[in-house]
Amino acid sequence: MNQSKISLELKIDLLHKEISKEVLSSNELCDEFRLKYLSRKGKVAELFDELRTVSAEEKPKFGKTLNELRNYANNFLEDSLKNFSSQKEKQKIDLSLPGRELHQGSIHLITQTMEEIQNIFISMGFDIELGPEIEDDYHNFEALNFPPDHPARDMQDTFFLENDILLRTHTTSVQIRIMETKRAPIRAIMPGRVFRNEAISVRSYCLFHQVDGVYIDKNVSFSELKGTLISFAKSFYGNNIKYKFRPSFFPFTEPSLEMDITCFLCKGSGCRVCKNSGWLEILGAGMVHPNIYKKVGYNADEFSGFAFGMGVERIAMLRHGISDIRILYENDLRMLKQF
Amino acid sequence: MRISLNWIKRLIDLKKSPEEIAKVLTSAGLEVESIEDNSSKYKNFVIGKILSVEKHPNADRLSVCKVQIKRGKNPVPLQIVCGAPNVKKNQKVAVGLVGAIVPKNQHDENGNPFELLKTSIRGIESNGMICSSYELDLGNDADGILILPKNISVGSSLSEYLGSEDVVFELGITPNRADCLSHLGVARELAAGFKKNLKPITKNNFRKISKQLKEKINVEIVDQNLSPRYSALVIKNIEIKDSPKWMQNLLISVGLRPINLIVDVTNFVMMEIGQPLHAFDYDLIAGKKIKIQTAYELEHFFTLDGISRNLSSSDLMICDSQNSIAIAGVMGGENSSITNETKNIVLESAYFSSTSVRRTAKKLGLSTDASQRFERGTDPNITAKALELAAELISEICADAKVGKIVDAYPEKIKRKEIKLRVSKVSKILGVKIETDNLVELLKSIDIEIEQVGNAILKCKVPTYRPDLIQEIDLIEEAARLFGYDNIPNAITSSVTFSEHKTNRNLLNEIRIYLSSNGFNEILTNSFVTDDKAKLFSENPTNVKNPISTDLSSLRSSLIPSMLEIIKFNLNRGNLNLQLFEIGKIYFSGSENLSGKYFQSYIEQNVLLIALTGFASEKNWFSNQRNFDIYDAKGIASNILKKILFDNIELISYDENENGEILISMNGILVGKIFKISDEIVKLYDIKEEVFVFELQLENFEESNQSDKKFKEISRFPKTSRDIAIVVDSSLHQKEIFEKIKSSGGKYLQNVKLFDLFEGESLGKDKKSFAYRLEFQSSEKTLQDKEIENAIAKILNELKKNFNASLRAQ
Repeated sequence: MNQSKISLELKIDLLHKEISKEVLSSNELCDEFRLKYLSRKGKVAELFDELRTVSAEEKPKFGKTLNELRNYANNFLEDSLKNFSSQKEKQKIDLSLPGRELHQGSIHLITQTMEEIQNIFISMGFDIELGPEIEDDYHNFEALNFPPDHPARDMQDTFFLENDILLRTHTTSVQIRIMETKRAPIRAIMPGRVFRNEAISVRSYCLFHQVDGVYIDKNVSFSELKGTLISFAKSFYGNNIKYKFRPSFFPFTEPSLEMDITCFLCKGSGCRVCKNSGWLEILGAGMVHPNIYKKVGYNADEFSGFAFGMGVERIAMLRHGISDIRILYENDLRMLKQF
Repeated sequence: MRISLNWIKRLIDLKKSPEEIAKVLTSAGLEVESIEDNSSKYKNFVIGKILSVEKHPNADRLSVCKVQIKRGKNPVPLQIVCGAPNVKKNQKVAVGLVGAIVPKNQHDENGNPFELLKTSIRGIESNGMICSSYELDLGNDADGILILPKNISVGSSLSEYLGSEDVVFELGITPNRADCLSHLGVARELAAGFKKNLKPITKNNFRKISKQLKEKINVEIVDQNLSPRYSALVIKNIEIKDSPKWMQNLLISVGLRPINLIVDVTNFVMMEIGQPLHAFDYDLIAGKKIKIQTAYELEHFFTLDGISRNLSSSDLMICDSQNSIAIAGVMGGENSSITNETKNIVLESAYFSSTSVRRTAKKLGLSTDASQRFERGTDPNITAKALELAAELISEICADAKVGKIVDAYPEKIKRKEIKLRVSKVSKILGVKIETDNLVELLKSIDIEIEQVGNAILKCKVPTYRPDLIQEIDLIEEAARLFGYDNIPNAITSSVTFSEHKTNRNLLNEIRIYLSSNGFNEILTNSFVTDDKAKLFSENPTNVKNPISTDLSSLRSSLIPSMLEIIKFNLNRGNLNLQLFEIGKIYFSGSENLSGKYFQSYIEQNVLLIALTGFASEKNWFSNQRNFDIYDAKGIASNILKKILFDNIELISYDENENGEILISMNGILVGKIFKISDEIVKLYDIKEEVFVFELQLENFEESNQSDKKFKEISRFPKTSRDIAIVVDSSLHQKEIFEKIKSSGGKYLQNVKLFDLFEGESLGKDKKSFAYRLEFQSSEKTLQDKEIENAIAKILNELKKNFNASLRAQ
């Protein structure tokens, strides 16, 4: 009796150890396991049969241990099955499939370039001012020191809506509108769309975008103008650029200048884009002409100031190697997505 | 403006490289746009003589030539294989030696230059090339070799013969620098830049040559304001022949075609010193009298190009005792122009009012070399000198010419203008102190006469050839230019100003960033549209008086036409799925009740347009394809409005009209629309796909001001969701039920979301079902089931009462 009791205890223990050492890595092995331990004639059932041989007072104790063993075997099988199938599941996920992408959106290159220019001037303390695209002769020409019949008007071919109403040829017209409503100090940039009556070709479109700027205060000098433009150019084109200033002519500024920087395609050695000069013109500027102060009722001896302007399309085209301006207005999706 | 270095050297002694010269010109404000260096163009080209021509043994069309290219006794001739049909013994020809760069290759489509190599052509050695005028870039004749005159010497360089060793600068002359439209003007700048003196313009022997003729023409200026000076000179017994080679070469180098001695001399004087001349046939001038007066009203006049011009009483004319003979400063008349038979001429050298010439030239649409100079302003004090120069040149070439005396009508001499310059103002404007002595020296270098008044003020007398120097600032500019822009320091003082008013830049940028981040591509399109397309969207479009073409004659009153153009363009190029947007201006005019911000009768507004076409999702491994529909457009519309309105989204309401368009109003004002572009319109653009758009007037929105926003507490109590599905008549619109649920749901109902829509026979005829998820939450407590059930019962009750809605059977 005693022997059978001990042996049952031992058998339970041994079987527990045996089960714990099983490795169930396939369906077949799991089936075998079930048959071997958990079937009606399995090893666990065999031990339950032996329960008959133990005494009545010991039965509950062995019954409990055997139940625990059966649960252990069941759990062991279940866990193995779970483990084993989740591994299988893992192998089924193909992570090389493409992800679910959104459409690729974009902001137009001209808008981006214009924003970049504006942000630089904003960081230097310039305001943003806007004005109308439909403008009158006074603000676009006369107040800017383009007298009627003046040859300087030939520089800008104009679209007219009426004799006196036109599409602005530059955003410099906004400068007059600011000065009409505000006293100095004035420090603002005027971005926007401008129009020129030129045939549409590789190099010209009937409209383009400009960022003009103006700074008027008590002691604003040519020297300050140069400093401002250099700061802008370095910020926009990089600290290492070389630059030069050339005298030029605009009716609304005097002295006037044009600013060139080293061609960023050939780095100054000369190429098709810079017409072998090694330089690229990037903007025009100058000191606000005394006649303009007169027009808007400022005292030209009290104030001085500068104005500048640049074409956004030109800058974007040079920078990104676009040789045909029309590409910017065709809006081919394949172009839009590049920027 | 083309400026020839050879020509400049007639006026100033200069031994500088083209690059040094270009640098001085550019820093003087005469931008050098390009330098054309012809001095080495014909390097390795010589004059040769053909000694013999034999047939090529292996090619019918080729000849083997022996060409003498050196002088001296028994020089070794070159053997050259030549394909030209016109090659003959004893011809003098242009020979390109091995190593020469032939300017144009006639076997190359673009005529690109190529280098001559020693070669063998069909087995025969060839050591150079006998060139055609095409290959030498001298003309278009490519059929045969260029045959040169017999009398030129063998072995001399071709460029010496052609006189083509020149450097030509292309200058961008700004409108203020009228004085630099001549070699003299440019030479003056170089003289200042290199600190040199100019040579005299004439040889000063006019007095000698003008003694031959007593004859004078009578000149009368009627309108002195329009013609302050008129000088004339009669020259008789001339011969109309070619001008000399040196003069022709100079004219060609600046882009003028040599015609005959008289035309060439007038052009030469203009290009040399800037004074336009005109030559009349003296024998065709009635009464031997010249009268300068305005035209008759409605006068017709034939200019020398044979075209009849309509004039009016504001146009200045040159007349003889009977007729008009020239339009002053613009073009001469057919009735008095010189011909090959002309024997006697009268040369006109005048100073006209620039405004008058400009008005006439502009009105006639006639721009000539002369009018361009007069309208920018010429030098009133050079007219006589110009005639002296012309007379000298003519009598050098026509030994028998008889030169008269200059008749000079100049009632009131135009003197140097005096301008006061404050020394302090110079440094104030430029931001650098230039010492008075230095300033005086700079200004004197460009021929400004200076009288110093103390140390503070300079009285400057400016030359009459500088009409652009009018006031103090003009002199400050001259000072800056001569001082050198590079020598002015670069300063930057930071003084920050802040905006007192807002633009809607940030609003527009917010929209751009939002849309581009959500898969939309921004486009920018033309503001001009065709008139017929403009009329689709506006009854009276704003038309441009002078459009670039009839195609682009109206300003857009909607962004849709140009958007459709872009969609069509992309569809044609295989870009089929498009989510595009544009933010741009539209324009209105013509209507009586407009009140624009800047002009009463014109309005321009910023508008956002979004367009969708093609697949919302393409066929994919995880989903089926789906076309864009109106709900995609409505969805993005609602997203954007939430984005830009934040809490004020309650102001927005959606309605629909009879055309199946969704109308968006804010505070009862129509601000936007969502719709499908009609079939008729897409057909006009050849678009077969459906296009859905959302249009929003941006003028109605202001930049959102986040800084004023206050945080709203987020409830710490749990949220409870309940789903209800109700059945209603299929004619009922979702919105009515939605609104009713919201209004009857009580204070704890936070959110209502439609999650299913079902129609089917199981519901019964003309019935449909909506399923909603209702979210309840309190900010003060955890809600009891009872409270939620009460709220739902109330909702269902209201729905039943108003729409006869029933709960859908589970």
